[in-house]
Amino acid sequence: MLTSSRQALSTLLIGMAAFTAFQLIALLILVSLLFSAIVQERYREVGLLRAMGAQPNQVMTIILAEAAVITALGGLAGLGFGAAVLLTFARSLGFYFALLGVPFSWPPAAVLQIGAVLAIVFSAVLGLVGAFLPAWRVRRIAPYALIQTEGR
Amino acid sequence: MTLSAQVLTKRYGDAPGYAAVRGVSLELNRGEFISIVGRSGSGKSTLMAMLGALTKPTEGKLLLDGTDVWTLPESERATFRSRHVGFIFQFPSLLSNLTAVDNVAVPALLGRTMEAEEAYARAHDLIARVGLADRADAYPGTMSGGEQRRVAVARALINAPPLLLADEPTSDLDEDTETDIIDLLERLQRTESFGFVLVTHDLKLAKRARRSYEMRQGTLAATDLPQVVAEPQRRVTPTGIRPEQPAPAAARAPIRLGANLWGGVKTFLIAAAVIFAAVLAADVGVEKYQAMRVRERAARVAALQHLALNRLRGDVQSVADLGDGRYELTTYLESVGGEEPIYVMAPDMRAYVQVGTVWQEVPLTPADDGATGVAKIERKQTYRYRFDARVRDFAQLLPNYMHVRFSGTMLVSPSSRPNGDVFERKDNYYVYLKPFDVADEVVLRRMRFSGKPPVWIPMPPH
Repeated sequence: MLTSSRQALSTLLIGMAAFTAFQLIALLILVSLLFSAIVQERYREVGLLRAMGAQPNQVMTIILAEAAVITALGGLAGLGFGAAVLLTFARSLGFYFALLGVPFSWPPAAVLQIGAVLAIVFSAVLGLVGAFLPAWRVRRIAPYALIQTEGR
Repeated sequence: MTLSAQVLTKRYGDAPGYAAVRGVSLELNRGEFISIVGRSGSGKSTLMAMLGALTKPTEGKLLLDGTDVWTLPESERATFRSRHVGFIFQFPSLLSNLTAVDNVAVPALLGRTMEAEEAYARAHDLIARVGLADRADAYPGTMSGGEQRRVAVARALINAPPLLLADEPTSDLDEDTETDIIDLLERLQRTESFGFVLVTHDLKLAKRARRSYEMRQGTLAATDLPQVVAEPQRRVTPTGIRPEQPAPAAARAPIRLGANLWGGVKTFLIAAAVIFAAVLAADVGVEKYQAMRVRERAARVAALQHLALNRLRGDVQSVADLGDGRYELTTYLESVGGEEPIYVMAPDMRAYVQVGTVWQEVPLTPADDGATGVAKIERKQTYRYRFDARVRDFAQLLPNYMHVRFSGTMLVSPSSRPNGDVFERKDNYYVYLKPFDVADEVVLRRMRFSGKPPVWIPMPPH
């Protein structure tokens, strides 16, 4: 019985990992689309910066940094939300199980900490990767063409 | 410094036959004031963009002191834009999320032409010189069109470029403000002595330049507009402009780059910490309460377990042979070592005979009503069952005797109406049972008893 539960749980874990991976890919596409739109909306601003003498790399750095900060903050928020869900779980279903004599045990602190750091790093990387293409594209457009687009 | 445009032509990709600018040559030197007039669509803006290296000419060259700007790598072209050209656009071009002084300092910070402190000192100075000393910390959204344009002028001059390109800088302003701005530019041009190219469709403004050109369908031609030199002073103190205002003391305050950002982060962190602390406190409280509940529950379960396992004794009382393979089983439950009553939901009894190494179930039914329902066990409660034990090839742990197991499952509770406090107790009773079709003599051949061989022999629990 224990073995079959363990098997079921490990299957569930694999399924969830696959689901998460698909979600990450979907998010990557979403971030990329989002930043395409954001960068396109700011063509005039980018063009102005270039006209003022900004290096193409500076513009790219600004866009990538913004993306990384935004997605990292998103990751942070997600972490907070996840922790809240986990706490709620521990204090509701976990409590119910504890009453039945099955103790609810948290994963080791090290695992949680590494997971948290990984999540934030991952979300920042997601922003970087997602925004790279839009940032690279805008780098190649002449400043005057950027300024001439109807920015807003 | 000399910027020389040589036969510049610009065609746009979607209409290759049509040229926005055709074969324009122009030489610009430091300290010169040049105006270009022309109707809308005559190619003025495209020419200006080419002069500022903002767009690549289709044909022709843009030479800075003899070097073709478009043969340089893009990073050096960016340096050219940063150090040699100031640009004023025909639309409000300030970054809306930065204050006026931040906007002015941006090109210096981007181009790293000076330290941040110096950049801000110069930015404050320029803001004062365009007459906006008290609006330095205002955001573009709160400024008038004329004020925004003056900030743009200050911004264009932050890196002290030898060349200022103004592409209809006053196109959307009223006439008075327009004159103010052009006066300001002219005055600055005289003190800073940059080369100044003004594109306008206003002949009156164009006349103020030393050289005037007219743009017509992409070609540039010199005009002989009579020059207006002495006009600028017609209004002694133009409204809104207070030239050469001293920068306020605050402007010299130490620069705090990104102060707003850090302020925001600090607020966010404090709010997050407060929320976190509140959640943590609530969590610790809930955890304590829940641990108490879990302990209570464990104590209750332990008490229940004690009640069900230690205070309730059960066993086989007797087995009677009814003949023809039918037997009657009597079991009992007894309360020991306490006064509190024990309530038991009648045992669900099953009988098994060992065959080989497996247990084979045989039919068993309750024989009286006492064997169903809830019973209060005060002293001794008996239950009677009837079962058939006609089994072939049974295992013989004792010669000629069957090895029989009775399994009873019952629910035990300290109250007659159990409310979650129920313990499920499982009992196994083992006996040896004499089969109905084996004669006593046959049994006695291998076993020794004081009288007749008994119908059943109890076994210790195992």
